[in-house]
Amino acid sequence: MNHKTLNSQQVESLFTFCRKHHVYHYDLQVELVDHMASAIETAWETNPNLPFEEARNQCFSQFGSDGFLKVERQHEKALSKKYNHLLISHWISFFRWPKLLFTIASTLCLTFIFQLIDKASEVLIVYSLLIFFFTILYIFILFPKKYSINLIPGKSFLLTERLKSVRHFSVIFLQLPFIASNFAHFADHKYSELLSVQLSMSFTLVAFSILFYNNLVHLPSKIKSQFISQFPEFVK
Amino acid sequence: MTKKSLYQGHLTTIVLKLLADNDEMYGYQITRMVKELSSGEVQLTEGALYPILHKLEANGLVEVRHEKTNNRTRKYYKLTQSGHHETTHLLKEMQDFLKQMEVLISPIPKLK
Repeated sequence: MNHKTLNSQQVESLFTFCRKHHVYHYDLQVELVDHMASAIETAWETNPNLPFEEARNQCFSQFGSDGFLKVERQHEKALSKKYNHLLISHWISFFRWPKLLFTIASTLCLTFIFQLIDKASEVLIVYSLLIFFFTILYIFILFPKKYSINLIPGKSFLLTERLKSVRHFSVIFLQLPFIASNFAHFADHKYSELLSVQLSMSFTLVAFSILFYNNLVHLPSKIKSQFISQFPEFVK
Repeated sequence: MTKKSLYQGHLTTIVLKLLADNDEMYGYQITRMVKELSSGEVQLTEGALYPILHKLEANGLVEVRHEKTNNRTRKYYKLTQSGHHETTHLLKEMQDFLKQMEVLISPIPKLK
């Protein structure tokens, strides 16, 4: 026996219903719409004459007094947690075998540079300027070309919002030369000639560079590939 | 303590067990199955289910897939390798807990 199913107009009205109840991101709307549609179709199995709006309201009441609010908040929280976890676990992987080799080699190279150059502050200033210019390049050329997603207009996604926030967050790295110039005199202290101090400074810079790379390169590429695999029809 | 609050602490384990038994499932299917299997005793509300599923996804215990069905898109959840490990671990913990509870609540034999 064929059961009554929702037509495309009714499905579209469920999307409007979600927006009316403050769910603006399509990633979550999709799931809530399917849930309500499935519940309505189940209700129609026993009572085919039940009006669509009544069946929808019955289903909505199952979400409790907060409606979709709790689900939406938790969804945002969970997504944020997922990418923070991804960021941290990828950063930690550079301190485990086999990437640890890269971290050690980079630290030793940088220590060697500190020994070659008289003033440690010069190394810090050059490093912070490199970060500064790469960030400029990233914001204006690399991100728009490599990581931004051309969406079909009219839809908003939590995933793409997260992607945009990576670009906005990168602005923070532009502050680095100013911070470095303020602390430069500490770097030129006589203790900076000690090998242990040079190793510590090198290790800190390498760890920071990995964090910088993860934030600006690894994370957006992961978000973009996840979005394309989940919603390919919305990419132009 | 109400029956509802007794179940509440174990909803994640229930969801994981269902996913382990059914390969992949979508949200509404889970709520229906919980209701059917428990003969309506356990109410897994929509407001509780989706936060659980999204949390499991964030923790890498489930992976998702989208599929077009009847004019709409359906999101399927499937356990990952670590999701299977976690399910086994949680079920074991729950069984141990139930055993302990049984010992604690069964009548104590009187000592002569």
